[in-house]
Amino acid sequence: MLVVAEREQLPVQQARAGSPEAWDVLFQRYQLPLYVYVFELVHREQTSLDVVQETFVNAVRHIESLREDGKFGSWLFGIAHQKCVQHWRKEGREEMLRDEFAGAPPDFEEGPDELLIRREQEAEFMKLLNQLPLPQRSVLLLHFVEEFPLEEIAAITGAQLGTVKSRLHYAKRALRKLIEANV
Amino acid sequence: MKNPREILFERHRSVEPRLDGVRQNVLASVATASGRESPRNPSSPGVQSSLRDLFLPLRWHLAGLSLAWLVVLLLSMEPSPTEERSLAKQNASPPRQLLTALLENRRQIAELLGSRANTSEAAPEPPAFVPKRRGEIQSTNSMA
Repeated sequence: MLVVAEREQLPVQQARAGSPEAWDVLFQRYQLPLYVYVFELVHREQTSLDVVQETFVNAVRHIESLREDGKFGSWLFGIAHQKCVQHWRKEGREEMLRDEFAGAPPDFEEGPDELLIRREQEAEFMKLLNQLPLPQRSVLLLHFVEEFPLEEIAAITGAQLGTVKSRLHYAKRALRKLIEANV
Repeated sequence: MKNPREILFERHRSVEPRLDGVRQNVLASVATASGRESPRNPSSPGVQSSLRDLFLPLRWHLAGLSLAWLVVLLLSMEPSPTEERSLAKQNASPPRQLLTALLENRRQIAELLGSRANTSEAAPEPPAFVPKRRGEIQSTNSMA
């Protein structure tokens, strides 16, 4: 069962006051999800660890810019996403951030959908995930890893809501095709 | 059967000790920073907020009092001796003019005294008051 960040009792207020214990709780909660998200985008262990560290440091420095305590998770992922974009820019791979989809698809349905994958499909699932264009992969990872609502995914990635809907729609459709093909 | 989240997390469980190291590094810097900041800023947020609560409702009264004191201060300021001297200099007439005015004044006084002497010679003397006797007063009354 996925845990939605907003329903958790996180010590964000104490972290704002500079409590190291509160930051420890927050970092423990988000270190693995952040790492998974970053690694599946950049595919380098050391770079991913560096991005996670920089994200934590920036979070401590700029906690006053967080408007709603309930959105701490998406705010943190937003910092990590920006670090990934900076990494791609440094490597001259900005074209990877563009995709051809814009606007929401007409048959988009928002809501929880349980996508279950069998053990023998896991490798195929990962292969397909890595074949997706970066913007679609990014949206799908945010949906899978933290189950962020579409508005927050749009805020994290800096994309329009309609664009996020279309990216998620096409990425999910591709995954479903894979699962149905292997049934 | 697993959901995508479980698959993704399982693939990266092995990196958790390194992530713990990253977390400890950042926490050490947080602890150092908070330790550095605490003596620099001794006033706690509680004290700050209570001071704010005390003075915020009185801000207009305090501003009014300050203004009143400022006006009192301005009014009570005396001009300095040098200013007084310069003011006297500005108002004083030049000596030649002053002398002419004095002479004119003296001439007018002399003229006035002279004319009074002339008029007293020309005018008839007022009759001297001589009291009448009681009997004379009574006879005039009975006749009327």
